[in-house]
Amino acid sequence: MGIVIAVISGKGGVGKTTATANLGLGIAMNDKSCMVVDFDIGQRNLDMILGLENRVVYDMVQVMDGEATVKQARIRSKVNENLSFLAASQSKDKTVLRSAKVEKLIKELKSKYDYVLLDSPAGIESGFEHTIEFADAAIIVVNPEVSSIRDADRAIGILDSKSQKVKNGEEVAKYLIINRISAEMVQNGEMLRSEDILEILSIKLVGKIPEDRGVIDASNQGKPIILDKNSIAGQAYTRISARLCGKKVEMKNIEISDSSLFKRIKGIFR
Amino acid sequence: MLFDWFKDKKSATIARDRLTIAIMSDRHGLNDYPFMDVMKSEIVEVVKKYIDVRNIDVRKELVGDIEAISIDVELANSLRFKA
Repeated sequence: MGIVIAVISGKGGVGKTTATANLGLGIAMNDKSCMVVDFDIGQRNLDMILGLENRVVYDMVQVMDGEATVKQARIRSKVNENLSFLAASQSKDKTVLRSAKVEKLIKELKSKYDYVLLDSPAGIESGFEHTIEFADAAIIVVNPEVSSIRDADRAIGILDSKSQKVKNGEEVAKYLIINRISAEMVQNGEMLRSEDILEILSIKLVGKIPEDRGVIDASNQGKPIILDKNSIAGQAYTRISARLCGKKVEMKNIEISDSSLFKRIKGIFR
Repeated sequence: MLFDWFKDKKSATIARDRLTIAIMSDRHGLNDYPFMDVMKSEIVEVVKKYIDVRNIDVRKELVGDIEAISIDVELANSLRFKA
């Protein structure tokens, strides 16, 4: 029996889909079978980040409606055979999801894969609620920025009240990812420190990802940044994926980076 | 760089303080207590028994660190006591 993890954020545009794609691939690289599902009905974009947009035939709503089987609809990643993907429906509207159907789909995926990652839509509406309803755990993605953190807290509040696990008296595990950290800005006191964010949200940290221009370059090409061994964001995703697979990887303090010194040295040789 | 020493507060500190307050008040939302709706309807029943009212508002409030419940009773135009 696998574990189902909803990737949520509250606010949009913080890197939720990028995180889902990279963690999915990262988990697959740890020799675990992994299924990533785009729950953002009507706004397909996980397929673009994964570079699989041309191979979508059936979507997850068709699977839920019994128009296609998981086997027919799932798309295998080109770069790692452990990774599969189910696309969001583009044509149908957001209200199409029904608890019973979502539960059935998730149960099936859970029985077939070690890890199931659900890419939640932004906001805290019904699409979000369906994503978290049957999840065993949630990854909350935030930027070190006030509106992102406030919205994340609202999303966590809903997670704590609407999740099936919580209703059954169990606890839903929550892990925080702080994305797009600029070491320089943190050093200058212009960006929230991760300790402050953790204290405000009071949840566990699973990883910090530095700001990296390579992320856009990677999504342009549909090649998740984790494949780029030289990328600092890619390395961060590698560490987080290993942690999610139960490996002990020390938390790297990317906020006190030597990048400014490094830049200066590089500058000399220019 | 030296001038930074004289700035009173870095923006990250301001962000932390503002967030702490905003999130605290978000979490203490209107119907925070599970019994709020039932309690409100019972209070309305009792007050209506004695006076004509236009509206009754029962709210949870935060005064500094202290939690309080405020009950606002808006009276009808001409106050009439019921016998």
